[in-house]
Amino acid sequence: MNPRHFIAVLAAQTLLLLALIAQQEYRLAAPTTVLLETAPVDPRDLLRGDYVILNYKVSNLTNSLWETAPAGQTGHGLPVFVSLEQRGEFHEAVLLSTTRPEPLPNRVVIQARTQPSWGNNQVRVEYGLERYYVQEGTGNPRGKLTVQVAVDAAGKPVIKQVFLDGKPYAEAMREQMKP
Amino acid sequence: MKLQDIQRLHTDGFLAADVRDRIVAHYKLQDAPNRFIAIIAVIGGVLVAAGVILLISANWDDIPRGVKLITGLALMLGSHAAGWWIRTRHADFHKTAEAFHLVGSVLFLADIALIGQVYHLSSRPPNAILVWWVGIAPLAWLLRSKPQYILTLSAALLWLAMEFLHDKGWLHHHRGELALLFYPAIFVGLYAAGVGMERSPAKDFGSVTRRYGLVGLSFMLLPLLFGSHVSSRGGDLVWSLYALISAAVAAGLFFALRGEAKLPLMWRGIWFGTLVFWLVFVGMACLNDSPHTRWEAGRHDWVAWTASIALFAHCLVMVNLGLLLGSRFFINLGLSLLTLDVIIAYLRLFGTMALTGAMFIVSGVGLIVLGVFIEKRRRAFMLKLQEASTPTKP
Repeated sequence: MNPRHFIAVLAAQTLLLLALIAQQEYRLAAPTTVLLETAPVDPRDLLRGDYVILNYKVSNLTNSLWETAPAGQTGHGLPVFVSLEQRGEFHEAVLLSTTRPEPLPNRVVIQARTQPSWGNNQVRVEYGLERYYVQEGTGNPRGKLTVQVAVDAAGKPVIKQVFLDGKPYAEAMREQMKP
Repeated sequence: MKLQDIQRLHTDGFLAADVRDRIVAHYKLQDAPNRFIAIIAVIGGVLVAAGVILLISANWDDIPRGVKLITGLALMLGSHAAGWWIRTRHADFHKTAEAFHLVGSVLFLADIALIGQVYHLSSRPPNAILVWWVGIAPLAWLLRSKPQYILTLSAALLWLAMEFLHDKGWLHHHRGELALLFYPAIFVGLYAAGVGMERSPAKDFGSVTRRYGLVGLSFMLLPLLFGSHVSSRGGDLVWSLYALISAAVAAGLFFALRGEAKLPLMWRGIWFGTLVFWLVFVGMACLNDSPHTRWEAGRHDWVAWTASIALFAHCLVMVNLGLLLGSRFFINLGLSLLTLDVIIAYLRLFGTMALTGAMFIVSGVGLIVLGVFIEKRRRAFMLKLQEASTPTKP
């Protein structure tokens, strides 16, 4: 066997992993961050361990937010853009569109995909921010969860930090779990 | 002919050293690999990799993400490097090298999971398995390693299973039932590919592919024994696709078995018919819109009973093929499947004495007849072997 081929495959594997890391680091380094409200649920993933399911207030939107409502079904992974504006401490959805809206100074645009929704007047969207992986046994928090999200120039979001009652998640859980 | 036998002939003075060397070189004889060590090495490798995955899953908050990611990458590359070093410097420890490469390949998946965990990614889980499969696939061919090849096949089938079963899968439909429809055809296809590979440059992997396909098919036939709980009514597109795939698999099987010179023509035909029967039957069973969806209703279900009887015949064919080919694998798999078939049929009959009694009598007689048949075949086979090994007088 040619050792160059073997090294090429390993290099390809490593580059792929590094590309995934670089992509996420680029998003995390984005200067734009938003704070979102959420409610937790705690299941476990076979490979990645315990996580908290984050159900955002901005995941369930009303049909009135559509800039122009698309024709046909919207509940099957349609790519959409959600425009957020800061209202008090948190960012809230103000506009939903299928094309990227014009940038406004006080708005942050996040990419999302529509999901099937139970309500007639509702649009459910997923941002890819719905899981927060935590240390084993710390996936059952008590208190108010808020999520700081970094958004890159293309509108791709990534979780930067999760707070539990205003404190970083890991620190707050250590305090909660003290006997 | 084993290397040890040639060595012994030389030690006992029947064979000169140069003749021994010429025989060894001509037939490319090697030390018989110690299967026990190979199994232990593979199990050890899988345990190490599983342990690392669990440690990653525990997700310690105190370790910075950079350290976690660098450690993950270093472990993967280190494992492959160790495997490569052993392979090139200590050829005698070939199996240990394979175990290291196996750990490296599993750690590639662990690293993908680690990145997902560190950055809280929640995209489609089948994507991770697809990336893993594509990443490790070339290693099996480059290293000419059977464990790597089995891992690659398993990764491909796992990815496909996730596409069927996960609610965000591209092939997901109504609780993932399409997997029960398509997987038997996939495994028959793998078997056919394995038979074909044995006459190709990829013959090293032919036997493994053939066996993988047959074992997989055996597992996928077992759900049929529980009745038509399958109701994969996926619309015309699904059925057209199934018909197309089944026809392609049947054609591939036909051409693969055509070159199987060790089998008499009649048995090639019977084996082809048996496997094609399952392709048709699985399609019919999934089309069947039976109201029976519960365990106890399965005893009145035509799918369950036909599958039981057909599997019984299938096992008999396998045992006979094993005798014709001199393959222990065929015989063992056939008998194991036969046992499972009988046990499941009995379980399904629990609670009805008349049916249980009838089934006991029929299958008891069947087993006695089968025993006599197999013993006759075995004796004939042994006699043939003896005749072949007895030197003929001039």
